[in-house]
Amino acid sequence: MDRFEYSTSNLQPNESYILRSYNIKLYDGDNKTLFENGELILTSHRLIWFLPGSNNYLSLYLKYIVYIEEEKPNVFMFSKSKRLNLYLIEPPKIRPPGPVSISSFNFIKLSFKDKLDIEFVNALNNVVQQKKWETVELVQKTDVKPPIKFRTGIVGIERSLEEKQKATNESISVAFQDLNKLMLMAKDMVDLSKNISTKIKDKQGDITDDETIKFKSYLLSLGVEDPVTRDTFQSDSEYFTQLANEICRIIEKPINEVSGIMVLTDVYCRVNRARGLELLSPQDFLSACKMMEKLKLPIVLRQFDSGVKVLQLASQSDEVIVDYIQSLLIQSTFLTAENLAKILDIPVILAKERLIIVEKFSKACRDESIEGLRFYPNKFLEDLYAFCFFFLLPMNSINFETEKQYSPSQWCSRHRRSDKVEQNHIENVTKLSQDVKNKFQCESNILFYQYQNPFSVSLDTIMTEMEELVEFLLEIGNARNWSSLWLGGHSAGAHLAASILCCNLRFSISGFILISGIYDLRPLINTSFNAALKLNDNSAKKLSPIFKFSTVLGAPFNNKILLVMGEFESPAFLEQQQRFAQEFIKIGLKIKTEIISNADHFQIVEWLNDENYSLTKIIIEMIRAES
Amino acid sequence: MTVEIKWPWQYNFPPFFTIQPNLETRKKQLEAWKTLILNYFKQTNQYILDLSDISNLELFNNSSISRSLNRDDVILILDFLTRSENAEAIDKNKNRWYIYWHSLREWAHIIYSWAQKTNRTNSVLTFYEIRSTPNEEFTELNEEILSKALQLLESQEKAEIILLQDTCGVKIF
Repeated sequence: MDRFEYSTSNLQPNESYILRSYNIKLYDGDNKTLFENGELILTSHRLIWFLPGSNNYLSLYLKYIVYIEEEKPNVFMFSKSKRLNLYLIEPPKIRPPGPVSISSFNFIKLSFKDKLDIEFVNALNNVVQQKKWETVELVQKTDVKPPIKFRTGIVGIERSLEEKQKATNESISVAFQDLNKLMLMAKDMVDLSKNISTKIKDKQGDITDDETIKFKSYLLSLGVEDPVTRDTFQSDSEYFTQLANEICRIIEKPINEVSGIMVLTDVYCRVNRARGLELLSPQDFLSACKMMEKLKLPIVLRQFDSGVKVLQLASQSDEVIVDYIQSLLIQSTFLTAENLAKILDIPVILAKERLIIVEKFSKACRDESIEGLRFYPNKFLEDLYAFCFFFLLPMNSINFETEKQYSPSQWCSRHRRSDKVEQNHIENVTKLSQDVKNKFQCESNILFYQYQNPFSVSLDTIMTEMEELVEFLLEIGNARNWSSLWLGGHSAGAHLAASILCCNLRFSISGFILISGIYDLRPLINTSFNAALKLNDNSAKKLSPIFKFSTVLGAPFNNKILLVMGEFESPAFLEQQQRFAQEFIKIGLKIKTEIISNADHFQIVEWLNDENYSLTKIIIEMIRAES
Repeated sequence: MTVEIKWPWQYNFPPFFTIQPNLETRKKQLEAWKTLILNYFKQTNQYILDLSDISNLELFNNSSISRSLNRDDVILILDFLTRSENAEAIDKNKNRWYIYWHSLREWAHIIYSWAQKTNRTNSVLTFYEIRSTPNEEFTELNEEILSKALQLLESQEKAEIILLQDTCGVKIF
């Protein structure tokens, strides 16, 4: 019954009247309905049922009918059947309103008053078979009528969604039409704003400053006045030049705000947003950016190794960036690209590029693990050279021949009076110590381990203490990332350092600087020093590095040992150095020996705080040399 | 082997376990690995590194910072050691390595000067005798390495290796 719809009695085009029957009752499936005693008109397309004198017409399109059947007579009834069953196909989802919205039956019945109208039944069968409606589709008048929404449930919701979508599509296309209009309008607006701005310029006196500023800000928000467009130029290069200038003008301030660097795509968006209309193509934009460097503009295009392109302030050199990020690295032990991006307020991709630059400059090193890529300060190349230097300051000397040989104060070029020399030396070395401390605080760690009175303790004790000191230094070194520890000494200090060199090297020391040392103590037995030293032949031999020469001094010490004397030292000292050097040559180790011209036993170290002093240069060169 | 290793600062520095792409940095890093590996083998008195073991070796795995070296990285470092004569691959697949914390040349020199100092020249010494000399650097030296070092001396005409019944001996001149 739900296939019926409200209609009029008017015939549609191509529809023709066929037959009429009277006193017809409609059944919805097996159920009686209120539609009784009506007239039924058969046309080529529909069945139209109505009550005589009423304007309500119900029509059933014949296309719904699949099968027509006379109802079998009831066994209890003697009369012949007077009802006709019409089996129907499923109604379409969307259809004009009818008397019944939903029916569970897929058939209706037409009940005739007395008996079947045979003529009507035959005509109906004919018409249904002819299927005239298929040849010409009826224009359904009901489509034009606004649909009345009374459907509910899922079907209803689906329908309304469909309708909404349709409406949106329509409004979008309308909107696009509007946009075209807007573009035209915007052009006028820009013209207008130009006019206003020139007027403001001309009539500056008439308008208050406040108003001027207000106006200007309006104008700014309107975008770029007079954008550079291709058609105003004859050649491409001229166009790109002007475009490059324009991009620079637009972007210089924002780029400064984001620490001097911006990804090209960001710039592209900003420039086009600023232009508002006459949008740039990416190709033109890129070509213009490529011109920037040639034009010496304050902003340049740069491509990172990974392919990322950016615009960057020309003033911002890599060195400046590297220094800055290096300081950040040191502050925060390590940085990821995400960390840095947050700190600098730049995109992560740029932060990564920057860290890679720092790494390239050897100021950072990477840690790649499941925790991600992190960058650390490059401690591998932080050269903290440690240099431990022993000074033992001599006591007053007495004037005998051997004594003279081993009393450096007798062999100096400056002063006649030997006691004064030593006094001077103590002052000079103390000052040197102080100077070096101040000067190299950051570059290297230099420890001055001064014995106030070396001869008050036995040489053995001093040796043991020295070894302990070296052990202690190595521990510090390990904790403080010293890349190397050098041991050095002057005079008796050189003897100590050489003793450590020869004690089978339990220590990993990088190299030795031995200045004016005594390596064989035996000659000292016959000097007055021995009163304090208390050496005999045996103990002197035991404490002399020259007799304990280590056989295990391997290749790592090639060019890592320096023996040096002053030109004006006593022959005994010079001989000591020569003999000691011989021992190295015997085991095939390359060492450096130097004689410093014009220097005596004291000057040789006193001059060390002069950077241009030849010995200073030699020492620094040796320490810095690659292993 | 309960020798306590004094780890250098690098060992606790996470980037030490990532081979550095910057060549200058890498060189320093490899130097540091070289020192560490040689010291480690010296202190634990080992001579052979088996790469199938590296995941168990504390040397290449610092659990306190959860960093470790993978096999390829270890081979890269060992190749670096090979250049300074401090390592040598035993098999073609680079699975087993000799670690020379003294180069063969140094070992040869050490043994040669020991023999001279202790008047053992011109008499036959068995390899066992040399290896069981107490308190010398070559005490319990790996036999193959000892043999290689002595072969080196032989090529310098400072020694002659003699095959005894079931062992080897050497005469140092």
